[in-house]
Amino acid sequence: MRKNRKITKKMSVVAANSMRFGAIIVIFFVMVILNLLSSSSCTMLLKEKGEKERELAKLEQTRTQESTRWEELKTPEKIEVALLRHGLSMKLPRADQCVRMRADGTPLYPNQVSLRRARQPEFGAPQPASYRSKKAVVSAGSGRVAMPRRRKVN
Amino acid sequence: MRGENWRFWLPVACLAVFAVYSAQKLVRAHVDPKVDAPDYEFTREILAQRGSIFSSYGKQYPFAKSVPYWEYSLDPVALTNAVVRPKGEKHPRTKEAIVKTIADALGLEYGRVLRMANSPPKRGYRSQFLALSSDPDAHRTLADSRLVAGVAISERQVRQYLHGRHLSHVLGSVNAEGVGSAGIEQRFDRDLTGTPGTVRGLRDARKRELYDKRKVSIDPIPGSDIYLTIDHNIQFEVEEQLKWGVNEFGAGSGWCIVMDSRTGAILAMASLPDFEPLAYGRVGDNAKINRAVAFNYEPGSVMKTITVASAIDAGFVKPDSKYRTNRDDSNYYKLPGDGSHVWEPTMTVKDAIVHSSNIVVGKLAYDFGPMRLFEYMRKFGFGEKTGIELPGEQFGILPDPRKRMWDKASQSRAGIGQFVAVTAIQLCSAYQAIANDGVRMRPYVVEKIVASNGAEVFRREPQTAGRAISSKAAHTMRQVMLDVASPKGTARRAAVRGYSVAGKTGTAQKQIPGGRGYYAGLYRATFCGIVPASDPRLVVLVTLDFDKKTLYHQGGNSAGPVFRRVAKAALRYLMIPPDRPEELEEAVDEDEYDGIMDERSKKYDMKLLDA
Repeated sequence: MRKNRKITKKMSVVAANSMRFGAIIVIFFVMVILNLLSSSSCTMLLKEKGEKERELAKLEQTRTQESTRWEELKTPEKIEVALLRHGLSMKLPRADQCVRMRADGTPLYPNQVSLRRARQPEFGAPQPASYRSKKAVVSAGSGRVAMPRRRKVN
Repeated sequence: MRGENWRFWLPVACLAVFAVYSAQKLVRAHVDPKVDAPDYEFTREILAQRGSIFSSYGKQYPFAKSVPYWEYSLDPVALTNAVVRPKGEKHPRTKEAIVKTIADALGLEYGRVLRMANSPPKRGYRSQFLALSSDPDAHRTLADSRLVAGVAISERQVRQYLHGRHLSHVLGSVNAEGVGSAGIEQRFDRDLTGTPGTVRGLRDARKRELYDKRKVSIDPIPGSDIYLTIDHNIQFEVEEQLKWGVNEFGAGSGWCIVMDSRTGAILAMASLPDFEPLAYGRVGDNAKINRAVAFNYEPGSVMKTITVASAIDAGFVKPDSKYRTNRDDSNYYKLPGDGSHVWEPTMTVKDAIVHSSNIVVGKLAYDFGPMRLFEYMRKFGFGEKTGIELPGEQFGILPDPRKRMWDKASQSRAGIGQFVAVTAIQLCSAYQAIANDGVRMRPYVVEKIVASNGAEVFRREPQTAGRAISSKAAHTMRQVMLDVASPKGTARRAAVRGYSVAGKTGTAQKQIPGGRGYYAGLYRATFCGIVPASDPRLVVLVTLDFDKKTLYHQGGNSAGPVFRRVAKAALRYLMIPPDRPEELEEAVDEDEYDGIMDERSKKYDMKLLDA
């Protein structure tokens, strides 16, 4: 009985050590695998980050160049050249083309187009009923109220 | 039992040794600075973007900005010696094939690149500049060591001046190293230059960065942006009109300043001849001078305004005070004649300004006394820098009567714009004081500086530089100057339809260097005006410098029309309402009107000259 108990004790020590050893080995390998996985994942992410960085730099460069090109096109000299190329010329209006009025809508100078005159019923040509609701356009300089043209329907 | 334990402790000991070894490696790699850097370790500096310079309109309208580029250079020796073998190919690429790849990538002529590749190496340097390119595909191709060899690539920020030659003197330029070498670029170089970033890490055998091995990564901090007070539209108009004036009247050079009379902010500043900022190194010294701030000259009759304003402020004269116009008094020492004007025996001070009488104003200056005149001139800002943020500003020349006695000739001539030298910005600033009810504002061209993170580093608020004359005297002076740009004045061609102009012409003889008198027939024509005179908003100064004799050397004939064109465009652009609207009632095509007026005035002037 005593002998058997002794043998049992010895067996349990070996088994316990083996269990510990096995557990450490398993933990070690699990950690190695986890490390490998995380490392490879980090590598992949960093590669991706590098690619994105390059892409961002490229896009940033393109944006800078395009914005510079656009800003260059907006310079007064380029606008003038573009207008001339298309046969357009911009001139400041003549004095009679300008409407200058006081705060109450009266003209600043006599015989000049003004808001009040444009609103007077006797001013301008008689308005057809169909046009009455539409917005009248004061033609500059002429002192007449021009009606918007009807659209042609094909 | 003891004999059995080694089976447990042996692997544990092995793992412990492995762990210690790993820890030691880690410490060596990360902590110990003495560890030798392997060949594949690199440190790269990331260039910081240089700050931009913007118009007063803000970020949408830059005058100058930096754009990233790659600079490619070719090393013929490295190209010849290198063995370039693409992946999967048995034979290395030939030199011609590599050259073809380089030429195609950069869009260069094949023959040219081949000649560069075959040229013998020069002493001292081997690399030859190939091209600047911002094309990322070209960069990818030329950076691939399996395709090309002998191409050195460096990253560069290339400064671009979007308005070309316009505003070149104010903006300045940067040199090849990216350092500001003139203008705002030089003056604010420290603000514009950013802090470069750093990347330290490892790269593989093909010199590609291993991103997972990056050790240090510090982002660059871009430079601050500078916002100017210059309005790009007014600047364009000023440059165009000044160019027109220089060509039309045959001047050698010219300069123009448009200033906000209430704040002292410079809205436009031009100087001709100008230069291409990107070619600054190849520009002659004559073109590099910003004549608006860095050039001293005798102003001529535009100075009479200052003399009369000082005398009025001191209560010494009134606009209707009369002076004799004879030249027989020896005290006044041969004042220059009064040209072709028709004179009365006596003339009021107001008429002396309107007709620009040398004799009357010379006598007035003499009687006023040198000390008082000097003190007033100092109050108007002459003889000292105005403090504008542009390099190379000159002091002007205003001798102190306490240190150096003014002789009799100097006393009278200082009042008519001889004997003293000024800069255009000083003159403009003095007229601004008259426009601003006697208070002189410090002229400035930089409105604010904004750091890359959006924080405002500096903001310039309008600053007063002291009171030159009383408000009443300034108002009186503006009234006195009103008739100068009228049919009876010397600057009838400077009149702006619809607006009152208070200005003064100046036709200064050009002095011979070394104080040996004046050139015969060579002049500097100036017109400085305040518009609208009733409620001043702008001060415009125009000077044309003639290198040869011409009929249009007088301020009213040449600088006057340029002033009118500039003032008209600026007033309309800034939507400043006319103060003489009755003049606008007559329907006249403005451009045609300008032409008519020019022709009329020319004819009128010709008659005068003939007489």
